[in-house]
Amino acid sequence: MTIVQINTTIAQMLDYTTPILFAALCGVLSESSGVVNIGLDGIMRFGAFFGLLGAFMSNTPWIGLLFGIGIGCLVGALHAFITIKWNGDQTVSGTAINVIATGLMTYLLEYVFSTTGYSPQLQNYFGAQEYRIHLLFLEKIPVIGAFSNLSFMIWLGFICTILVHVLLYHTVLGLRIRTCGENPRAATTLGINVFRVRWFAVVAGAALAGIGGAALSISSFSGFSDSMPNGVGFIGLAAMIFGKWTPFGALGAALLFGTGQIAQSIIAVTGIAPKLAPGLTLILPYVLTLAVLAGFVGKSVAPAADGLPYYKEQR
Amino acid sequence: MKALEVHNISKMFPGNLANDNISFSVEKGEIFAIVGENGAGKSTLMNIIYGIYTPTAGEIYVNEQKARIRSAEDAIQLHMGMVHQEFMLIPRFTVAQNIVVGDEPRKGIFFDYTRAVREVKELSDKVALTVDATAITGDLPVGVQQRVEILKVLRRGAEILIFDEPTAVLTPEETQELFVTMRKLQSQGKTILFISHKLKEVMDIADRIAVLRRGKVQGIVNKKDTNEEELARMMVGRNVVLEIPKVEASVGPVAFSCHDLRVKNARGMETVRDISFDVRGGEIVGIAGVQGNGQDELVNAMIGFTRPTSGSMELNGKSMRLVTTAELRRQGMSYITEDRARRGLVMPYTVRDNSVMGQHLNAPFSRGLRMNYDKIAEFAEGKVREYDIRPGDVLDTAGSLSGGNQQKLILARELSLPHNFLIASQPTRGLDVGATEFVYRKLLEEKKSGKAILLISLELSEILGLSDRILVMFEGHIVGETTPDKTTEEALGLLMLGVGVDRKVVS
Amino acid sequence: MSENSGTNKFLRIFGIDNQGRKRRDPLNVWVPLISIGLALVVGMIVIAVSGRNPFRAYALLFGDSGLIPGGSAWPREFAELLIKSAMYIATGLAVALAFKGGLFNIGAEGQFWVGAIVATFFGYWSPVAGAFGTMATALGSMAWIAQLLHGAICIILGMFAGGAWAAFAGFLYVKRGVNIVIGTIMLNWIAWFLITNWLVTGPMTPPTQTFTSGTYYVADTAKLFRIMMPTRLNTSIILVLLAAYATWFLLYKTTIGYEIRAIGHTANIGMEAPKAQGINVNRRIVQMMFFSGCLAALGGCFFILGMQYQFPNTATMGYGWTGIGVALIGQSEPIGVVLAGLFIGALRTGATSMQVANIPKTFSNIIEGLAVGFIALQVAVRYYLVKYLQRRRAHADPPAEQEAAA
Repeated sequence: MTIVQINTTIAQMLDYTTPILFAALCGVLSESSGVVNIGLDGIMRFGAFFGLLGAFMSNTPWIGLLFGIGIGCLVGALHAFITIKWNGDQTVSGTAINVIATGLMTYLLEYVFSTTGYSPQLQNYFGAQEYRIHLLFLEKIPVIGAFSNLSFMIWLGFICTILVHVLLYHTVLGLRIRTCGENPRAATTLGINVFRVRWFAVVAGAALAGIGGAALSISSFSGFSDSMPNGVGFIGLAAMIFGKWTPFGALGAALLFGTGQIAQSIIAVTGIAPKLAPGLTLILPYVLTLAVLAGFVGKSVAPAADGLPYYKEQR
Repeated sequence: MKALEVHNISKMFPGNLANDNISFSVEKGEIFAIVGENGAGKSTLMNIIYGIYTPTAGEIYVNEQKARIRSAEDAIQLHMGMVHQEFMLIPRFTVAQNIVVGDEPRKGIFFDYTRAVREVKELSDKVALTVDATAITGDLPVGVQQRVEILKVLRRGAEILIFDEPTAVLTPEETQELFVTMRKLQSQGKTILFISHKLKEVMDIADRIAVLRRGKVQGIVNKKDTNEEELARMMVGRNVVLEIPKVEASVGPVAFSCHDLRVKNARGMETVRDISFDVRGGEIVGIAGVQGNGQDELVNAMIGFTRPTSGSMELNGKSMRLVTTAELRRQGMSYITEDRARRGLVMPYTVRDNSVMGQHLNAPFSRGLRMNYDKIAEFAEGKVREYDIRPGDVLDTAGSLSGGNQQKLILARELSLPHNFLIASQPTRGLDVGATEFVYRKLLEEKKSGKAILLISLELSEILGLSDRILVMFEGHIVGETTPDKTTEEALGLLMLGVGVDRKVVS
Repeated sequence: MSENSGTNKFLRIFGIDNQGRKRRDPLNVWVPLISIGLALVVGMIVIAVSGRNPFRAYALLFGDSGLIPGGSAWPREFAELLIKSAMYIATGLAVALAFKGGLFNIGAEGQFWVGAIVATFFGYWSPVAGAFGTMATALGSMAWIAQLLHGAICIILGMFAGGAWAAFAGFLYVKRGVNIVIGTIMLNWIAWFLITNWLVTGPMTPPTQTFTSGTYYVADTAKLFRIMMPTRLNTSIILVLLAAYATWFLLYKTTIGYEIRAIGHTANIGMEAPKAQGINVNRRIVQMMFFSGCLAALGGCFFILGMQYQFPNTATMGYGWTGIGVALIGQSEPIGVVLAGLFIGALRTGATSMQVANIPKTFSNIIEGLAVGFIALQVAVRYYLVKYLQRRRAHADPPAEQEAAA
């Protein structure tokens, strides 16, 4: 393998990593406050379509990004409304979001663009050369060189990881979010408004998933495809668990799973085990996550009150 | 000056009037106790005062000002603080994080942890409550965790401190330490509300005492003018000293025995240490002890929930090693649970369905895979009549019955199982006097019919009145064995608290 | 007791007890109906907002759903409705059974596909298919016996595989504390990728010169019987109704069901009454997951043996996810699941015709998702329903007003 090949492969891996990372960060933020969001796959689908729509209408990916954030917040608010305001079952609500996303995005794709399967391709997307962040001085260095020519969205993913980490572990709000996720009753006795904190965490988390969806349609690819996000949200969920519900852990897991996703092309380039079936590498994230949950490879423990609805007056 | 006044507070839960027109007032700098049996409405009242629950009716005055307490935040604003029965601590957080959360030292939007640690140290020095600010809370002993709770409340400038059953989880030493702390706080001018159902403790620490029964205030008395007996009468509504008739039965063979038993609790701490005893047919062996001295773990090991780390148990001469709960029950073990909701009954199931759980695999209740609900209903109706379980419809859910009737249902089920050994773990917990008497009568009938009975209870009067032999459990050991005619409540009480026990044996 | 009277049973499902007492909350029937109603209304709004005629769309949707008899196309639509419904009922029953035991088996999807691939394999694998082929030839006019046996073997093995797949999640849950939702989600994707990106595109693909995509086709003897020529309707609907009855019987008539429901009422709120009474909770949970997986896999067998006759490489996920909706709309009762499954099957059938009105057939997903969403919101639905009923009662019967207010 040449340096260029190595660097291109790594850059490609980062392209796969980014949507997974955003999904995982959504999960970390939401579940730290005690709200499970298995609807994040659906939110990404919303984000992917609306991200494309914004970019297409304005001819600039920046507007697409804003659209992704906006729709993420909206769908997140729906999840919060059902699960926090009305104590709906978090898994059921997430399922509903996933199913609605499947139907509605296909509907909208057909309605807006009169096409099935694929949206029109974008000229201006974050993956295009003029929207990449160029750090040419890195180009010749092996591995590091991969960072010389990356999409803005990849860098945003790294930035968001740091932001979520700082938020959760170094701010007042973060301490309170974690309190709500561990023991909402304790939070209430301390005068913390559990409902408000959870609303924030769910909506902010969903915004990240919205960005993750947009990262698919306006960064990794230059258009929306009807199969998006193709389970990336669930890989994100797995990455969140594999990363033990922490932002940097999620980043590590996303990188690992991203590598698994492009294992095919690595295998092709390097010529190791050409016969290895793609299915065997694709299941890697899920197998690893199960192993971690089962305590075979370290133990991953969710926040104590994760997934439990909170009733203020309960006997 | 009155620190707190409560006027005509009522709280209605669906189908349950938890607080009924409660009024009292507390002077500043006073330790005011509120006593009552489990379910008398003490915790509900405290949660109302602290803003967690909204009262259905009534008013609260703080420092002689009418107060609107809609949330814990309001209560904190009014300088109130609550030390909850279950600690409101996050095990994963450090002590400092737990103490400051909700009122954090900050730099802009950032959480200033260094300052938090410093502030916690300063505070703990000031009020002389020692804690390690950087320790992980979950690793600390219970007594220290409670200290963290108190510091948390003090840090918010609490002038009125509410202690909700604070001694339930403490060892006797820790309880004494807590009382020292409470007196210290009192001398610093704080007002303390102390919730308890332990009369001794109340007489120990309180200045004035309000007695609650079934959601109503039965009376407010000065400690000086009262005694435990009077308080007890007010708590239960009539003379508590139940006359338990003596029943003689011939002692039969050993039904259950254990040797050098050691058991760990869920957190891996050894809480049953080297216990050996046996129970014979026709006798009631009572295990006395303060809650949390290994009784729960002993029961768990006996019913096959946890495996002992060492030692052996035998049921009717057969080793109980690696035997399942189901098998133990087939071999003649019945179990009256200490917690009806948790272990006794499936609350959404009907009386009918609950009445055979555990023997539902036996004919005529089922044949092969097939349940015979007609036969089960017939059986349940018989039991409902025999035990006078009200309201008496076998299709009512167990959850809709009162505590006493739930306990009757459990008795009906457990005593109808073919058995010769009965574990009765706190069989009268939370029951009214009528139901308690019923349970006693049934236990004595069991004894008379030659069954072996292990009675585990926190109530000394119950242990003394029913048992033929008494074992005292303290910190996982049996520290004494005696009989009711050779001991007194006082002597037992001292043993239970570890007084006069050779410390070398215990540690 | 009159437990065994059919009419009473039927009445009781609708909240009416033979002795005049309400044993079931009638809102349990109203909540899913209202959820569906609201979903249809929102769906109409979506269509109207996108500038199409919602009435025309719904006329197409329901007119061609197979629900309404009449017209030359009806037998075909009716057959499609039943074929589709059979699969949704199967996955719906799977999810419902687990719900009754207190677990959210979100993995019906994976179990469905595991069942499908195993049924495919035993449908074409020459040692089995060849033997039954020979047998069919030998039997001559009695060849249907070979078909019955081969089909049964494929279904049984498929169900067993799906059951084992689900039981593994149950095992991880009881032995290693792996949350069942997460565990089954992970197993979904593992199954899906192993099947579609390995088995179907590798070991189970015929040599390239045959120009088939997907796996080998199953032998004729493995196919389900057709019961309404010339339509595609096959015995799957009958089998699934039997499965629904078996599920009901299991839950309400057997010792296992008695224990499963007791566990369902207690396990996920940390109560241990069944365990203290000697019920082997862990074993029952694994068994229940096994049964649940069997039901989902049954749907997968229908997909192969009744519709596709091979595992196509164009298969898309969704049957198990839909099963969640079916179970929720059916309130986890077998009879409710059958009705909900028929409803969803009808939507899916009719939605194909909506393409005439420029509405993609995935429109039915929107309705389905919305219905599930409103069920998630059932606390709110109940709240407003009770409020409405109280107001109406207060109008009709003034003295009752004080009672409602008190």
